Amino acid sequence: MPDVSRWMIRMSLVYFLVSAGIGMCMLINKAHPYFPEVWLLLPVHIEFMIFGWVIQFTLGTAYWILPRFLDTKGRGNGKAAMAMPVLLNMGIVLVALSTSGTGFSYLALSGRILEALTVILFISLHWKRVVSYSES
Amino acid sequence: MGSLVLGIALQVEALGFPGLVPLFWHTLMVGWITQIIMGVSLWMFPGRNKVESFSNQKWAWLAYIFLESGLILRIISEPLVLVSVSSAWKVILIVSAFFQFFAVMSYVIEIWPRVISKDKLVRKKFKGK
Repeated sequence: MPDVSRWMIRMSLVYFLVSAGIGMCMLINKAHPYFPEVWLLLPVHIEFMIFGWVIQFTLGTAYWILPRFLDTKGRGNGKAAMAMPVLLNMGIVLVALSTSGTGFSYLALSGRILEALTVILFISLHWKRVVSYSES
Repeated sequence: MGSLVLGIALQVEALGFPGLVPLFWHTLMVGWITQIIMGVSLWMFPGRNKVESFSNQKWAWLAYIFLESGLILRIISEPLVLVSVSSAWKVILIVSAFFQFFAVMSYVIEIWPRVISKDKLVRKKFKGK
């Protein structure tokens, strides 16, 4: 498994654990409202679960598992690939921070732009790897 | 399927089931998407002990048992907490919250050491012989 995939998958597991912890606190709070402020973390729970866990895990696994280039036997530009976890995780953190009432309205926008850039980078790196090994 | 049925129930106002929105999202995102990711990765990631037994795959089995029981308890208790005065449903909902978290924890314990490079996997196999 290449470094990029290992970084992305391990980061996704961290988000999964943190998000599940937040979810557990919210569900307990539904039964016994001991700390209603925990509901302020709902957007963070959703961001971590969807972008941090599901999307990051999927992108990391796809980078590892999709067919390599036949001529070079590699996965393409390694430096560009390493930018994927950096951009995505910066995006996730910025979006999560934007929900904390810091008053910086550009945080969410910047975070979403970084997430979109990650997806564009992912598509450009993988488009030609979605192939059949068959000649026809 | 369960998620889709809940999605239909959400659109039929006459049914009047309470608290269906979080159940719809969690049966979809946890019951299906997360569970299929967990199942496929447990099978596909390197370093799996291929001798089938509970002790060899105990964290994977625990993840499965906690996730299923946690989700089922949640599906039953989450709407009932809103309409029933009995505190039993609250206790069941809390138990389901812990079970779902334990499932995630068990899965991470199982899969974390298997997120390894090819070189490390070869060294691990060589060391085991």
